[in-house]
Amino acid sequence: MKFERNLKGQSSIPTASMGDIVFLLLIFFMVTTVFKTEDGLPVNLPRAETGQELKRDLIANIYVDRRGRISINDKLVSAAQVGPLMRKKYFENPLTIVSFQTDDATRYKVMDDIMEELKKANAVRVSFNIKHVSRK
Amino acid sequence: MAVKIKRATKGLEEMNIASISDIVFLLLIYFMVVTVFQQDIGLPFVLPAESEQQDVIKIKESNVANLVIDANNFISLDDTPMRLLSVARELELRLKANPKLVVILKTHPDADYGMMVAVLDEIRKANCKKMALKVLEV
Repeated sequence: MKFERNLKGQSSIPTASMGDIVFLLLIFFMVTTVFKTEDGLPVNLPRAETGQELKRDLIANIYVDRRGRISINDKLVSAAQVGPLMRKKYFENPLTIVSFQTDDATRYKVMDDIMEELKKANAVRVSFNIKHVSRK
Repeated sequence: MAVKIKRATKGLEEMNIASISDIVFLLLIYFMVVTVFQQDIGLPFVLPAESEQQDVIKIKESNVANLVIDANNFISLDDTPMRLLSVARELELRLKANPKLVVILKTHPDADYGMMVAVLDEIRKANCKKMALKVLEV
């Protein structure tokens, strides 16, 4: 009995579905990509070793630069305005973490003023944002 | 003599879609490169709420460790000058001797915020759970 053999050389891999696969990957990355929405102020975060990752959706950022300027939602505010603004965020979600994006050369006075405001607004969960380093 | 012109009478020609995957690949690579999964890292801290301050808890003087950062960013622990790197070890020893230890970090208004965070980092390294942030009265 004779078997037919394909002697016409190698058959090629079908590449027709390649486009579909790539499209799926593309759509995945397009959906998961989140662009930064807040510009804030240019800050040089302090370095520390014991930092913890923060949940993105709980964070309310406060930017404080070395000259003591305070920025919330890309608007420059005074320390006295921080309280009412954060009270609103805290009201929407009581688990809000106020995250300080503060320059390491900022005077502590500025931070203390803000924290006093936060206490008044009952926004007590804060985080001092850092740049993670490991000394060893 | 009439010239015969060839006409494409086979109907519509199909568009060449072989290169579409190349284009999509380019887009894909672009999005993969610009995607940054940025994760914020911070030192969490819970401030005392205004309402809680009414019921003041008294702490024995012997259970308190006073860490002070002065205007020139120098650190002292109960009036003993100290280097930043030895704070964690010192607090650890004290905590072992007295588990009820409460650390109070007093920072001068003119001190750098970065220094305060560095000391806070040391306190966290020493595993001190009970601590308070204060501003140094001048």
